Amino acid sequence: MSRGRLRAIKKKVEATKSLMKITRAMEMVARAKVRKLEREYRKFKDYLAELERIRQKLPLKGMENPLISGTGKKLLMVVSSDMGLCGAFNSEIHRAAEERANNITDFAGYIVLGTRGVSHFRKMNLLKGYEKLYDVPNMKVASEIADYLISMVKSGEVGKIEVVYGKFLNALIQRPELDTLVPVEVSSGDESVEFEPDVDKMVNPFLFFYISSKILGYMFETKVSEYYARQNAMKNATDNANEMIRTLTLEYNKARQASITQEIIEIVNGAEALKEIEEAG
Amino acid sequence: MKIKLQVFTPSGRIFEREGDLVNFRTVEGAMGVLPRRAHIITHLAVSEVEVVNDGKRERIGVAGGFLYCDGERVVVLTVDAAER
Repeated sequence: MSRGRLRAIKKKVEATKSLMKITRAMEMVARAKVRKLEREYRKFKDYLAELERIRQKLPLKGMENPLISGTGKKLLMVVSSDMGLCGAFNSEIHRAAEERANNITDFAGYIVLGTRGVSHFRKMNLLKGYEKLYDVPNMKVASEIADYLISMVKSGEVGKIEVVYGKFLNALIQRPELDTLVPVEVSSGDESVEFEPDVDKMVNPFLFFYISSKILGYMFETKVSEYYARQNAMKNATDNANEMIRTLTLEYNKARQASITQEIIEIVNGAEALKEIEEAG
Repeated sequence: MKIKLQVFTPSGRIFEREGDLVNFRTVEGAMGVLPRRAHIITHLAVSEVEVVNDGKRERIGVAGGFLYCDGERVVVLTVDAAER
């Protein structure tokens, strides 16, 4: 065993150690961020629950509105993340979106949120991409997107909008999920409820409010999933680095021992040879 | 009997008070609701929602939104709201 090999192994161990420091730091950052984000998301869910209650009370069924009737081409909104290093999270979302798009007969194109998604779908049928969205999703961006989507529907370019986003099941499982945004799910309403102004006048502002809130919800959930995915990916990377260091250290020690043994054999052989020469002489 | 005013924004429930009367402004004009009022949904103007409790008035500014009253609760959903 040469000294060069020993040095090479030692170098590898050092490199893996510094890499492990980074992955461990990223895991801790993701963990801290997700805690904050999940708290925000839980509060947002209370708001969304109240919004759903109002939607169920509004008699929107059968109304003549392009956002309710949903006739025309289908658009796919893909919610991905701005940053990578979160395992297969983004690529799973992209794959699910592409599979869905292949099954749509009158496909209009993609609207993509998140830098990762935009760069993936750039060469495909990308209608609009939103990059570098903020850490905590906010209503400003969501209503901007809603504005664009609603204008697309109103102009008749598209009639239906589906969303692929990262559903958060639990800390270990996040998976792509498909949801229908337009046509908006409507109910026949509650007859005992009065409206001020009339429902006809309320329908458009309400649908805008509802769609932007739903978009914010998708953004929120994808973000929470992303941080959990990153936390898991970085934890795996840290564990793998640890395992690698262990194997490399073992290999290093074996190599060191082998070189020592080799040297001892050489010394002993040399001594033996000398002794033989002396005896002969 | 009192009526409960709850204001929700995307950052959660940010305001909750009990009172005898809740005043607000819809896009068509000012309104007030008392406890046990018939259910109503309104589209709010960018305005202030006021809750009166034993003559004491408290106000919260809302950036439009929607209001739902079921006789016991007045739920305001808005993008943004700020207490005075």
